[in-house]
Amino acid sequence: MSEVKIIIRTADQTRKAEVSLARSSTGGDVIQAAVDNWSLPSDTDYSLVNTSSGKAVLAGQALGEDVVQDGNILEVQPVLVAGCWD
Amino acid sequence: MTDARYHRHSLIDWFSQEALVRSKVAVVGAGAVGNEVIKNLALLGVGEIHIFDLDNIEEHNLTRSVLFRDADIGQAKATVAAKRVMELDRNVLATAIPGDFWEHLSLSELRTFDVVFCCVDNFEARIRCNMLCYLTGTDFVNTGIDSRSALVELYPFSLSRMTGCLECNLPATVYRRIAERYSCGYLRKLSFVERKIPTTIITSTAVASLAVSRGLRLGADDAEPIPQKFYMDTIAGTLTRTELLRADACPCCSRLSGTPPILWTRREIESLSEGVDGEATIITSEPILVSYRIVGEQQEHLVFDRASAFSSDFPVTVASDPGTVELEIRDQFTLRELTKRFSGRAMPCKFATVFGKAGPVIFEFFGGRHERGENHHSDGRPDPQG
Repeated sequence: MSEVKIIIRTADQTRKAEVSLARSSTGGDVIQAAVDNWSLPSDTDYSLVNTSSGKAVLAGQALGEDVVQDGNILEVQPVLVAGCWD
Repeated sequence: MTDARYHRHSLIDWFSQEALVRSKVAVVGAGAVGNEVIKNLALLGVGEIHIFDLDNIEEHNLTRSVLFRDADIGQAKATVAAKRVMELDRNVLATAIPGDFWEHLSLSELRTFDVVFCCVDNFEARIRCNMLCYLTGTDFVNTGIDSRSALVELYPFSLSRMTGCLECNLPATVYRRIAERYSCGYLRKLSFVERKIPTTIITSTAVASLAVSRGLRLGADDAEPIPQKFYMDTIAGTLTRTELLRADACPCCSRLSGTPPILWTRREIESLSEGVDGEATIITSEPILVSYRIVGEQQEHLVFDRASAFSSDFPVTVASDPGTVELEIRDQFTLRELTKRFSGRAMPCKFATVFGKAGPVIFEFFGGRHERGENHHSDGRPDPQG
């Protein structure tokens, strides 16, 4: 099975890891692994962006060659919800 | 408008004061972010600002709300914000709409806006705001903050509705979180306690500067039709810009490809006219509590009202044992069923999409109350013509 070697980090850049993932893994898998392994707050929603290509990676999107290349940096960003009544 | 007031703006070669004066924008939510967005729009000299908010000012709002004062506590946020806009620039026409934008902003009115700034604090309002802007082809700017970060998402629906919307890019966990607030799928849980997210004026200011700059396309000669996200970490000092995508299974834009026509009609349901396709599917803009039935009884009790109008306590109000109450909550009907079963009643939703043989058509029902907004002139008093 082909793999891709990427760097995953949190948006505040306090967590960072170089990992090899199967191309069949999805953006949602990456987010879930980050939440689990780094104990990110579970009451927050997250999205994934490829900072190397400047494009979002959808939760259901596989890490195919058109989405992620070796050495790319994927950033897990919280989906921010506050703004008005808080 | 005086030349002196905008003199410094006129020295910027890429800045068009005339374009800003012609602009008409809506700000949904006049809280922490909304205050900063409104302040920026007013100081830039934007022609018309319509402010929607259903809340009143509380003391804890004052640390993040440049437009509010101690004496304003208890007053409607939208009304006070509109008054303060006029104090900042008497040339700007500010209209306050104290209430829920979903109730007060019709699709026909929304079409007249250049851009909508969404400054709310929950996903449901964002999803609704996104849907209205998508349907009308109005540019949509979504904002969000926490204690250190700021998020701005731009959806240029006036340029293209085929490149993705807010819901294309929402993770599934958002919908699970929304569902936690409801019982039986759609009735509001009375026991649900909202999580309070701590924020400061720092992230409110940061997000509002970026949102207004990009939302008004300041300095951008060639607007791009691609949705974009800006994520700023105010402590690390980082900013990432990301192109957002279109999801094939998006609950919003995959349902309605292209630009379905929008028609206006009365709410009253009449009999099926000859030649009309009775099997056409109708999807309502929100779930409807159609009826309830008590187990062991034959009689069906018709309700036919918005499910959001009822709380999880509803079964207790109609039966001594709430476990025996069966609810029928739906957002999909056929035209034949609607005209046969509910003839003489009024459609309780904001709009409905009819999927007929000729393609989808959106019917918006009369009864929008946006015209009740309060205009404010330079003396700060409401304009009776508003």
